[in-house]
Amino acid sequence: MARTVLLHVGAPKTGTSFVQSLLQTHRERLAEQGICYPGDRFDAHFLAALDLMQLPWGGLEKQAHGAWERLAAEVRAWPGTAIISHEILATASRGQVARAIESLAADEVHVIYSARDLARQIPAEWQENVKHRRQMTYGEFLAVLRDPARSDPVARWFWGVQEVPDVLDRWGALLPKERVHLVTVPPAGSPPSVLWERMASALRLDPGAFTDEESQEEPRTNASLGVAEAAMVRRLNVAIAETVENHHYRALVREALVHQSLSREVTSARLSVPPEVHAWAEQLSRSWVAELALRGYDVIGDLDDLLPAAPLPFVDPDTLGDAEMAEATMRGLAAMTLEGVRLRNRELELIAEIEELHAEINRAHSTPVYRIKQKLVAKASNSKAAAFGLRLYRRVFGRNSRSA
Amino acid sequence: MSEAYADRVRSWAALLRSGSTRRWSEMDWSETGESVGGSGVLPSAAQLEVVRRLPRGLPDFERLADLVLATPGAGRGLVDPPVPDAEGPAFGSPATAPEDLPAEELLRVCAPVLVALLGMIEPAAALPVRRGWRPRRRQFVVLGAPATAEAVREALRARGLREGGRRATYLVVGGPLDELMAQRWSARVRAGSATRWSRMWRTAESGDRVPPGIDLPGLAGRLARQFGADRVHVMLGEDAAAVGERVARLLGLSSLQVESHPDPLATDLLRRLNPLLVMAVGEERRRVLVDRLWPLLAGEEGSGRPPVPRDRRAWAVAAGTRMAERLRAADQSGDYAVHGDPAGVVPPEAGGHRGVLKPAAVLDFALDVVGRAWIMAEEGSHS
Repeated sequence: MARTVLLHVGAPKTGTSFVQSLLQTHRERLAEQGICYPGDRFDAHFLAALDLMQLPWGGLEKQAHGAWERLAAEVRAWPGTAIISHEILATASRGQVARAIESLAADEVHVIYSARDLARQIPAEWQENVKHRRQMTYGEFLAVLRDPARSDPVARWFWGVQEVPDVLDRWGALLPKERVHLVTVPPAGSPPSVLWERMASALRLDPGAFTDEESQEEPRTNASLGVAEAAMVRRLNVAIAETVENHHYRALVREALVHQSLSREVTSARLSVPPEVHAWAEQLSRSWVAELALRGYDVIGDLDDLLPAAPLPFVDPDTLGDAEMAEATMRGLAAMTLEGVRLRNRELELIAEIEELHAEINRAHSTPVYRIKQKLVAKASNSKAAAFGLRLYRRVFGRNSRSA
Repeated sequence: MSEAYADRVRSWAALLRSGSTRRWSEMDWSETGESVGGSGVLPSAAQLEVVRRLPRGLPDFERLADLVLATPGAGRGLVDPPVPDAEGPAFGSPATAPEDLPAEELLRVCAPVLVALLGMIEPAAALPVRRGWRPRRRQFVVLGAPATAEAVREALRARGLREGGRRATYLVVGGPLDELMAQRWSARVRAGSATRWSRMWRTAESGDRVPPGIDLPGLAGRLARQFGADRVHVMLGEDAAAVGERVARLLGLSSLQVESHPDPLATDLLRRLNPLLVMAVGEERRRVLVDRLWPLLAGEEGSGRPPVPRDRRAWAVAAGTRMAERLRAADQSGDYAVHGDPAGVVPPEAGGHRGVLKPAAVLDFALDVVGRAWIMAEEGSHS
């Protein structure tokens, strides 16, 4: 049984991909230090979260079957500390949280939740929606978030993972306050190392031990888009929504276009929130900070980090003209052309491989005995005597008798 | 959230467990006695409302209520919606009167409850039908509208005909395009898909083609090219019974009892269950459960054919008209025989039962299935 389990449950857009990538890359070194980062594939924690929350996700259900129990079993079998991390866990209901904690059978469970101010989270979540083929304009997105009834599924998801006091209420309900750790994301402009140092402190890791080194792979990050790039992808979603299946969208748009191209070289303005939304977000954040100050959780960082900084200049992605999107569109077109070429080359390679295999089969089938057998089998379809003979032969030698 | 709030929620839960159908808004807290106490996870408004709406008269109702109260809603939606109360939680999902919660929210609770119940039922495997050996039985193959084809297949087997064989007559069965699509949707969902009815139509229209399995002229054309025009017959009818009569006449049988009824509610419910079933028991077990428990889901459905989504009606009529023209032309040129009026495949512009797939209707149906599944699970546990 693991003595201690550290459950990192979000929030999305707070550097979670970076942390998970780092933990995955250094699994063996962590194990040497007595820390288990379970799972045999990079998305094991994601699949486990889907399974725990019975959350259908674009056809991944077959892979998610039993994923939580597999992860929990690995944790239970570990004698030291174990870490589980996925940001969608933030939206787990109280019943699911109870099931998760019980299944780990640990001496101590600690919940870690990283949070960033709303004025940065709102545009980041809209971009994430756009990358998941949604067609909602930014204006519509802002309106549904401000609907107190949370009537739209987008709002339900957003607040389910981002409403800090509620997430911690659900995840912390069964734990002593000192085992609930809130990591605040430092204000924009802070050195990137500050967030990692805070996260490492919550995860009980030496921050310098895992970032300096021999690893060939760069840790995964979820890079953001500029206003023009995001607006262009949203319009692309509108154009292809009816025809492109999810798995193709994932590979072509999210991976090839957004992650491999657009987000690597953002040239347009950074997306922010309009002034009236900034004021509303600030007021809401103040109520959260006041509440959190009373809760007695372990805060790593500063609760004031959750208050939005001064508003940034706002460029509205919904009113950008074609000319303003032209550069992003051209870069997208170039990226997709190159991806098309790559896939076409792969197709040609596969065709060549198939032709080679056909030739090998033909060579194997070119013996005289095989050719006679083929003729007899063909004759069995229009000759009763031959059909009878074939049945008799198969009864004696079986269907898959080896050709000479 | 205060202890007083938790107490009130637990009191209402206890009342509902005892079989009461009193609404949250009808609770008079000045009447209630001492706190019922308790600890653990507080159920959400959606879980409590599902208990209130469960069918009455079920055996061991309290245990079923406990199962619902312990089963969190699955999938995306409001997280733990609370009931309205002055001392309720200050953060989180907005409080809503439980009876006003959207049907989709209650279906999010019904679905995992049903998954749990289906897992408790050990369905009996269908016994293989033994048929005596008879030489020179007439041979047939049926394709086309999946439910009609299955019903015709069963009826012909029951009359001693043999499925498959070198001398088989190929029967391509079907009717109006909306009926064909409804049967195709049902078959796809039973095979594991989570596709919505509207999505089926959207995909068909965006590709401007009906799914290959119900493209009657396409199917018949391919079969005729492979096996000869004289062995392929397209059998059309308004419903399965009409198709059965035509098949009986063609094959020289006195009559053929063929029945098939629309199952859009069961299909819509199953499409919600499929992803959860796969996650809970795996795909292989899901197939076994669905194959054997489909009568439990669809057996008592009395709804009608689902209507073509409003924004796809023009395309449905156009696609049906094209299909009718291809069938007529093939019949006239002797490519294969068409029995019945090809014009019958054109769907009526405003056909189908409106509202049949509204979430409220699916919820009522789901609650009824929960009741029937609970009875089966109980019977299984006592046998």
